[in-house]
Amino acid sequence: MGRLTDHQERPPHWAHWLLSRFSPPGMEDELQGDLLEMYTYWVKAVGSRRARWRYALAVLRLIRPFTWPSTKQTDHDSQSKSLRRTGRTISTIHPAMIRNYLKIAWRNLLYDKGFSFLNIAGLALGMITSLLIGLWVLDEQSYDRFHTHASHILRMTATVGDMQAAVTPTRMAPAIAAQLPAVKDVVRLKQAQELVAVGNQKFDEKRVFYTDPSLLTMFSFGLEQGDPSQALSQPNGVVITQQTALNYFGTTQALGKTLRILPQRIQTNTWDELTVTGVVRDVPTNSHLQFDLLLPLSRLYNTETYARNDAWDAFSVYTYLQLADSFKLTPDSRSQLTGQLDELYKKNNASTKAQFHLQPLTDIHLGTSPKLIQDVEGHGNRQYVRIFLVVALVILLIACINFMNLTTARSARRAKEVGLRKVVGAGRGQLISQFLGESFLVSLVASLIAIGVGAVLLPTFNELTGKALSIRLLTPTVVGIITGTTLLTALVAGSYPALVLSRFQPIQMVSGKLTKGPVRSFRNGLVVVQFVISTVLLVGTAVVYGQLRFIQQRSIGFDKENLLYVSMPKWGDLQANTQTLKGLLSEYPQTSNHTIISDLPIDLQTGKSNFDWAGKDPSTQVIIPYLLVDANFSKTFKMKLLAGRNFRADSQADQANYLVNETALKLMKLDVATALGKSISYGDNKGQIVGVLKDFHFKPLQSAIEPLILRFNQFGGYVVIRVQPGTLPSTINRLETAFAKLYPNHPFEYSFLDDDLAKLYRSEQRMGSLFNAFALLSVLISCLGLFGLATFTAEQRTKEIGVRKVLGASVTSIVTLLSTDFLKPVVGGILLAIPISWYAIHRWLQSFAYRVSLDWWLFLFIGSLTILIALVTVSYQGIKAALMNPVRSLRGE
Amino acid sequence: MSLGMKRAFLGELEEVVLLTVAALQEQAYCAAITQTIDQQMRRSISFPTVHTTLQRLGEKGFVTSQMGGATAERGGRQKRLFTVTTAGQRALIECRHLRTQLWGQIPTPILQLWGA
Repeated sequence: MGRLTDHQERPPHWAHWLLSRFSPPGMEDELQGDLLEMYTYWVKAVGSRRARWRYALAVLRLIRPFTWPSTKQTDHDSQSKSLRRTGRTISTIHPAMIRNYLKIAWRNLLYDKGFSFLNIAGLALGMITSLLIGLWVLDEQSYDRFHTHASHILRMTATVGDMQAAVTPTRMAPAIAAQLPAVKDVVRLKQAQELVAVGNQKFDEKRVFYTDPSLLTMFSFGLEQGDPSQALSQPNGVVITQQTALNYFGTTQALGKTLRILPQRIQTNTWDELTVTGVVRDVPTNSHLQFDLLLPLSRLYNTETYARNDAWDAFSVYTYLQLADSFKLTPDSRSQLTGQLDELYKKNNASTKAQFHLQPLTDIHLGTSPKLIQDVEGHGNRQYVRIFLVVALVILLIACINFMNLTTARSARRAKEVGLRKVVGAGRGQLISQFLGESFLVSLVASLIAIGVGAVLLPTFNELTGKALSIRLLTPTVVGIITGTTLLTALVAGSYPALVLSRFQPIQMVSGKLTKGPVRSFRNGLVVVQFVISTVLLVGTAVVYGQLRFIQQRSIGFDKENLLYVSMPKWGDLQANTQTLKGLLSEYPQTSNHTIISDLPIDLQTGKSNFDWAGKDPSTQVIIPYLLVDANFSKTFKMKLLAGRNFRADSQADQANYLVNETALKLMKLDVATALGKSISYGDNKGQIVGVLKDFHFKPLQSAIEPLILRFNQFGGYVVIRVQPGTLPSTINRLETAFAKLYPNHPFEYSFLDDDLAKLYRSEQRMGSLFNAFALLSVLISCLGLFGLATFTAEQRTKEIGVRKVLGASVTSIVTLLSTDFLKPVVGGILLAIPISWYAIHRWLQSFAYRVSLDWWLFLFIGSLTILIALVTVSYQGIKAALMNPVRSLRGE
Repeated sequence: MSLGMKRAFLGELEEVVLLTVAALQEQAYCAAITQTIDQQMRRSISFPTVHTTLQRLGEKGFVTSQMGGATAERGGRQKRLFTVTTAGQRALIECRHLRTQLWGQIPTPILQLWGA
């Protein structure tokens, strides 16, 4: 045993303090003395470290509320002391009272198991919903926040004419870096698709960025291997993600390994050998930039494509700015900076009118609205996030209301208990804390159930939302949300019974003359709220579904079924390849009905402002979408030609001519009869309108049909084939053979146009199914509550019903009597819900150019449905009560 | 108190503590009892356990207590000294009697076999 220092000789100070403060009454002296002796003994026996530990443990076990004074004090002196002490400290948290509260709470839960089940199940359902939605909202809002410099990174976007684009000119970045001191760093990213070969294996990589070296230092993607400042500085280097490394080499230790690439942007016929100069962690799902491969942008220097794209008016790269650390980002400083950008651009290129905007990095995922041209895929929608957040809160509210209703309904049963407690001296504070404590217990049980069930349901929820959420229970936010929800629910749900029940006069309560008026009307008010919410959600579901069906069944101007397409690699001599492919496809009947077009009419993103025609208003800069098509276009797509003819494959003149749609005619103030032969110029190209196509949709149905100009296509794009029924396998086979002849190195991948069209509405469809789930849940929870209330009332009115039956009332009249009471608030709720839901739905539909009409019968149908559900719920108890033999209910009197 | 129809049951731990109270006589206070059990029975026992056991014994009427002399070792604080009551004595004697009875029922050859 070493020499004891002064510090070691004394027990822990905090434990000593606790003991002196919270000893069981009348035992302060002896316990402190005894423990001091014990401490000396322990120091000798086991050393001071363990002695301190034992001392602390002993104190914790001895102090209140873990022990309580024995009821039989034999010592006179301590008895009087103890009385004085308890007199002073008796309170709601007295251990004996806590035990009593817990016992009463438990007995109350067991007293009516069905009731408790309804109570807990309703609350748990609400909590599961809000938990899942909470996780979803958190994930949506966490986008791009993992970057260390997230608050100082901005994305540059551009407005050219009336077109808003996510892409900006290549040459802006070096100019900004050189001339704007407020900007610390600039990074460009260029989206690409590349063919990669490792050994004999080939990979078609779709998520590729060409980028500047400082990407890895500006963003925090986490380079696991390699030097972040050097990895992308050599033209023959490549940075891959860990998953890509696993796919290629079977290991994440890929630094220094080589791969070959057949770049589609650089039009050569030879494979380039690249060395892996960096392995980056897999990109988190909550990043708006998603990639598998990063290639140095310097690879593109000195290439033909680059030279074409390196003009000041070629908008082709995403540009991100990192601001200097000292820069304070305010709306003012931001607009000042954009002003500088505009000026910089104007100095270098006065001919294009372009304005630039700066978007904070963390705002890109949810704040990019309206959609930008050539933006990355997968942005979220802040409006939906808000809607869901509100819906989640509202469902939680319904569940809380249930809890309040069921508890107040039962309050009559507890009235005698409360009265008795008051008579023996319980204060209001004690009663309030008792009821709040009880509701806290119940909501705790419900939240534990909710977490368990939520974890089980998470995979299904992920499927529904297309996310990869997980309950990361250990993150403080999630724990905070759960605790917060539990506490809030307990507080909201328990507050009414706690505040109201504790206020009554004990004499009324014990004698059973509890006034029911205000309680009942309050409860009815809550039922109204529940049914307002349920009805609004039901109407919402119906309309969302109706709108989706409307969109899917709407004729889009061409026959979208059985259209198979393949993207032609942008590689080699495009013009010659296009001719060769046409020749190969025409040989076989399965593939002869084909067309080669520059873009698919799904979500057309093109647009040019330099079309000119006679009588064009010179002051406007109209951006007109355009499409390059061949002679077979309208035949393959089964579109209607209103006037004139299609392009002729062998006509040299048609390479300068145009087809237009009806809306374009309106813009040019022409009509179908007079349009043919009118001339349009596009840059140096002058030609005539040779045909007019009936309007068809080439963008999602949210937007109205815009003017469209079609030109003759010679440079590949997409091969679209109209598949004859029953010949799909042989068609694919023929197409693949033709492709393999022309592009022996490229993998062959085909898709169907109608699949892609359906994908356009995926987010609406997801919203539809989520809404469906929410609506069902809210109706279910509301009905659980109604069922509970009905059960309770029927039970309370047993004697009344008995008397009525004895006096000759029929079963029908009794059921009607019981049901009408409940249907009143339900009907009231529905009536209130109609204007609210009409307004909400009307606003949602505004985002669609083509929409279903809101018919009155829809509201009538939903209203009747809700009443029917409520009636079934309520009348079950009513019928049960009405069928009871009156002898049994009246015998007690 | 605990007499009459229902005979107070003496648990094993209670028996040990009660015996220690009897053994220590004038020096029977909680800390001393704990240390005695700890040393002599070679049985690790915590102070709060002994404390509650003593309280229980008091409730059953097997011990009484009074406040006694303070020492410097314990910061000048008083001790609660326990004494075994008549009921406690009777309970202990009965316990011992019962055990002797059971020991007596074990056949002698077996006891020899155990080496007891």
